[in-house]
Amino acid sequence: MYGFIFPIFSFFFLFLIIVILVSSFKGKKVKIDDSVSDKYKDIAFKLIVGNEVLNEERKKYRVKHLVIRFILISFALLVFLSRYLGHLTFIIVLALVIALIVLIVTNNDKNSVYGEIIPKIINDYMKGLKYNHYEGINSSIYREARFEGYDRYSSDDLISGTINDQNFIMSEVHTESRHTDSDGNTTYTTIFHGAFAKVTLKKDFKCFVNIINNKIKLFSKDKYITIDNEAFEKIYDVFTDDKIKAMRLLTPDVTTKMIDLYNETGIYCEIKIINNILYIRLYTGSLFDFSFSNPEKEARLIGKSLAVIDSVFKVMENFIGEVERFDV
Amino acid sequence: MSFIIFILIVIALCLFLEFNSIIYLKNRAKRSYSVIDVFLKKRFDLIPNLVETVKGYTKYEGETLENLVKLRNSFEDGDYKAGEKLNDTYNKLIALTENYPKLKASENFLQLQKELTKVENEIQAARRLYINDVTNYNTKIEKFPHMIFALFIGARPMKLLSFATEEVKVKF
Repeated sequence: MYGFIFPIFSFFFLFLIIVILVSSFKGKKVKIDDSVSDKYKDIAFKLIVGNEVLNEERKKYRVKHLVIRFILISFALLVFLSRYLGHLTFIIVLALVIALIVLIVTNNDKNSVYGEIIPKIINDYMKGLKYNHYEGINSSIYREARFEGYDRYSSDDLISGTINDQNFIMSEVHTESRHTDSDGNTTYTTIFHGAFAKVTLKKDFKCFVNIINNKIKLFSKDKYITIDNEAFEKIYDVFTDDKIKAMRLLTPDVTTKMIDLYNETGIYCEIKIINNILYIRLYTGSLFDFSFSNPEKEARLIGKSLAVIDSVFKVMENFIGEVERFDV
Repeated sequence: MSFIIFILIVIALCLFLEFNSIIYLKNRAKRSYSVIDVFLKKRFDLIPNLVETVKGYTKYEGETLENLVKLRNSFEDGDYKAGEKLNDTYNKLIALTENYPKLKASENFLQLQKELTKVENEIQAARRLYINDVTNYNTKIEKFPHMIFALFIGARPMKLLSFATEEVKVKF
């Protein structure tokens, strides 16, 4: 009579496992806390207002858009007046099309934004930082960090510099997994999209410490440690092959700072220390999106990226400070 | 009938998992305790070096040094009660070094100081690890409904720390 219950239960159980697994690998949606967003928007606004190149480019952009609008309106008028203009319509349309093509082909907005404006804003914000929109962190470096596997990798917006005399690189990284359905259609799902940073530390820990968000325990239970910070435990899991070193590194001060950062920004952060390398991954979505509009809107876009840079710096400083005190 | 069998299988599976989970947490806490022990021994292994270094600079602390060596030997022989006295004498000696500036400046002592600080940090980390593991275990067996099964298998709460490792932090 109840024979049907067993397969239903089994099916439900299997479904639950699949849902948990899929959700654990799916990219997390990011929304930086509003108060933080406003704080960095204000910082970005000051930098934007003082950026002469940006002000010039914004003017050019506005003029160009006015011309494009004029051309489009002219097209509409030509269609309306074509019966009166006769074969002259063809000549005017041709001229307008050429003008439109010239405007689009000579579009150097992106070059000026990513070649001059954003590097200057970043450098004004933090002296010594180098920015290159067209470069990213090589996939081999990302693989070194031993995060989850992926089918497609892309990276840009490379930032490099030094922090406490230690070199670091960070960039936007996007990893995706490929799915092919029975009809042969291929789709990609985001695994991770955000900031990824690498710092070479002065000391070699000769172990790995992995701090990830609370999800599924992918490591064996033996490698998992409990940290004496309840708030930290609610958000992060720590895995290591040397529990004593991990406990020494994750002092109450370090864990509290990580929680403070999370509470302040709402950004998920994953940290890996593999021997003498510190890897940081922040679920921030895309960085340095930019489009010309009014300074207020531009500041909001830039402010988000500044908040991310600041968060990466706070995490790096937190760990570098602890590492300096650490006697391996 | 198959439904009842299914329910019984589920209950058996739950009990099996519950039992394994409690045993796992208990053994984990025990292992963490033994880690503290390892680091305490490591610290006490530094005592002969410490005694030799201190001897060369101090003339009036002979009794303390002798006592320290005796207690260390007793601890080595398995007299764990000596551990507590050993801690006290050890801390006393470290405090006494304050009175000897030449000793504090010697290279041997500085090296020893570095090693001792490292071991102290390791002991502190081991202690935190142990406290966390015991807390996990105690929370598990005291929470409902786990407590019913814990009572059934005779699982008892563990003490957080049974000897004075809390006061071993040395301040140089």
